[in-house]
Amino acid sequence: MSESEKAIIKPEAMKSFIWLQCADGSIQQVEEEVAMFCPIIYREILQTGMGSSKNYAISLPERVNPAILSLIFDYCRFHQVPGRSNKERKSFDEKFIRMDTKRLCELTSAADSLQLKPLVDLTSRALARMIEGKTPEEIRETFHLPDDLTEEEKLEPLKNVNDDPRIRLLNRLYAKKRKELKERQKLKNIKVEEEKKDERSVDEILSFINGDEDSKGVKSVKSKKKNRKKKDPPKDISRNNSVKVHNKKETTFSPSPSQSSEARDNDEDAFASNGEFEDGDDLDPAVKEELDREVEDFARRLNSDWPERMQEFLSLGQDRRLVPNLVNSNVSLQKFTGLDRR
Amino acid sequence: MCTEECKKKSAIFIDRISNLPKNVIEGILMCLPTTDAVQTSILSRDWRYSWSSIPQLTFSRNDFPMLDDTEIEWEYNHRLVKIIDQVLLLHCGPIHKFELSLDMESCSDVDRWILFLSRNGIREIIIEFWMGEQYQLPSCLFSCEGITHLQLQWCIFIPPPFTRFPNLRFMYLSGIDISEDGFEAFVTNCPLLETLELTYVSGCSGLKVCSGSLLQFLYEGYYIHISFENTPMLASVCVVFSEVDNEEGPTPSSPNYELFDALDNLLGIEKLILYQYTLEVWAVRDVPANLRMAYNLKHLAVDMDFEAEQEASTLFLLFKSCPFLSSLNIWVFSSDDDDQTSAEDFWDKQEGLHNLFCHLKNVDLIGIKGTRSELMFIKTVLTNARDLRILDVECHEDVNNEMMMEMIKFTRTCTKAQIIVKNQEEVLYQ
Repeated sequence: MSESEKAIIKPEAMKSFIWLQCADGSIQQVEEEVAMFCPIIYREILQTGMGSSKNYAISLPERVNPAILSLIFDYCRFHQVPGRSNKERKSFDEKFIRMDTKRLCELTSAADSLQLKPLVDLTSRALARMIEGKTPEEIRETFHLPDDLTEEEKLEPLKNVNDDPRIRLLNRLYAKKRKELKERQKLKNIKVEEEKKDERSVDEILSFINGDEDSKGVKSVKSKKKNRKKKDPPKDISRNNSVKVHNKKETTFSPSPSQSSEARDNDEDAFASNGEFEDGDDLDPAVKEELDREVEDFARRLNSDWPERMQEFLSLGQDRRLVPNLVNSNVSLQKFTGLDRR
Repeated sequence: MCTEECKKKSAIFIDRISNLPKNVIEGILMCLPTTDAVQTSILSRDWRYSWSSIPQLTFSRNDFPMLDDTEIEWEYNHRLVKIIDQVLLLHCGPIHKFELSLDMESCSDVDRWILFLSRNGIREIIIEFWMGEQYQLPSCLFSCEGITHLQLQWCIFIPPPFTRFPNLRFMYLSGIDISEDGFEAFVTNCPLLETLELTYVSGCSGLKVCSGSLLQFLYEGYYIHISFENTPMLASVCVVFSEVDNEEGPTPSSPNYELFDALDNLLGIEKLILYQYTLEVWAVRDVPANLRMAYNLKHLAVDMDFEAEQEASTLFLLFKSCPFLSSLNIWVFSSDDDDQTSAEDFWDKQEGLHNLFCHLKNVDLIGIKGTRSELMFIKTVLTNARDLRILDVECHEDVNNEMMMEMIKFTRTCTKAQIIVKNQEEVLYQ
């Protein structure tokens, strides 16, 4: 039996009704004492006198839809009766709260917009019970939360909205680490080549150094590029390439300033797009090659047992113990690229 | 779970909870223990920052694994300190409630945390130690003017002179080392103090409580001199002397002590609880003719030895002085003292009982053995209590059943009274 029918059947009943309009336009009416239990409706009635008829229905906040509204009124109807004992109220609440998470969330949202604090507390406690003691996967399953944090971010600290200087410093350090992680990705590409470099001999290197000129070196870079794209180049060719790389290094990459300027002269295109280095995501392949070489070179400078080091870097993955090493290398790299952008 | 399924799922099911307003999410997180709340930071992007603004942090033994034999104490301590440091550092915003109740040794890290809290608007602070040496509270704690609720265990609480907490309402001290004068001055300086509970405090031989706002007072521990001065609002007093033969402290027979006088200052008292040896201590003195303080007394709970005549007479005096007594709880408490004069016929012999127990409605007797003195008392109650509603008797396991049956034959002045006799949950008579 709907409310309006009731009103017709018992016209002498002094019950007054309040008319309410939801955001979707539908209009409902409900007993006055039930509606008055909501602070927002109560205030609206007292201050503006609205709600007494269909044309002057009180419009409810957006988050309240008709189905949820009737649930809320069930709650209000029970609790607005003053004579109930605490035990009765508690058992009603326990039964009332048994619903699926979708409706529970909608109910919480609606109760909050109607400022019905007891109901908000009740639903919040129910939602908390669903979260407590569960693993993150289980919680995501229950509430359909997207697992949109990357592994990196799960390492990161929380961003401080108020920009605490301590957190800013931490964030800067972690930004560096992120960059290093990207570097490692690039270094992985030349891992294959690294393993084969062991076979070279000093004599071979010297002979090539004495033989080649710069311009040829440049061309060899470009040709090397093509060869590099193959995943598993045959040993001799790779050796050739690597030797040529060393050649290039010996002649052009002496201590930082001079070599980088020379490199710039030789390969304008590659370095022109160097600005993208910092962002990293869409690097020109030429730049990428250049970077790979640079990284390789100064790493050698740092540490003569380069191959073993490389292995260590890659196998330890995201181990934080490597951060000090990488920080050093990163700083040096920045020296290169910073100067290049001049 | 393969990616196609995932995609399907995300199309059908919407994440509704993350879009709830911030205050609602904070409300949900506050219902969780702090460890679970912090763990929500790896649920999803929306939930990363949510926990860091909730205004309460609780580190209690319920949520953290206990120290077991396999772990070195120092390492365990270190791990706990690291966790709490990280949480505090990542937290952003005021912290109104902080609880630290872990199996850790007191250390300088706690000083650092209290300093942090003092700068972040702390209101409720609970610090409980369960091992090691007593913790010396740092001075920054005494400058937290916003504190409303202070709960300490196993600390040394000696506030600098003129310290005041202008908003302090509840104070619970347990196993605390205090200095007598300093503490008394401190209590007087807290203008809003309502509840004061002292459990096993050391460092004082007497305590004078002087507070214009105090409503409830509890003391449990060794026997000390307690007195009250200028406590007009004090309505509930609970004194539990759990040890009387304390060699260092005062004994009941020392000359300067008059518990009667001390309690006599409590004119507004409505609830009086005297457990363990307290009544015995009280009874040692000569019983005065009248007690002013009992006039408003409505609830009385005592541990009493029915066989001790001194205690019985003290209690009788109390009953005579409180005409409005409405609820009475007596736990039978037998001390090992055998040279008490027998009180078997005490209640039987008393006269002038016509105004006794006029308003008495509820009587709870626990541990009744069925001795004659007990039965005489019950008879007195039944004869005089005109408004009696319930007489609830829980018997001791060695109860003398025949004696109990006798009790049923007593005449009751109030016919509406309900008598319930239980022996280990078994209802003998109703």
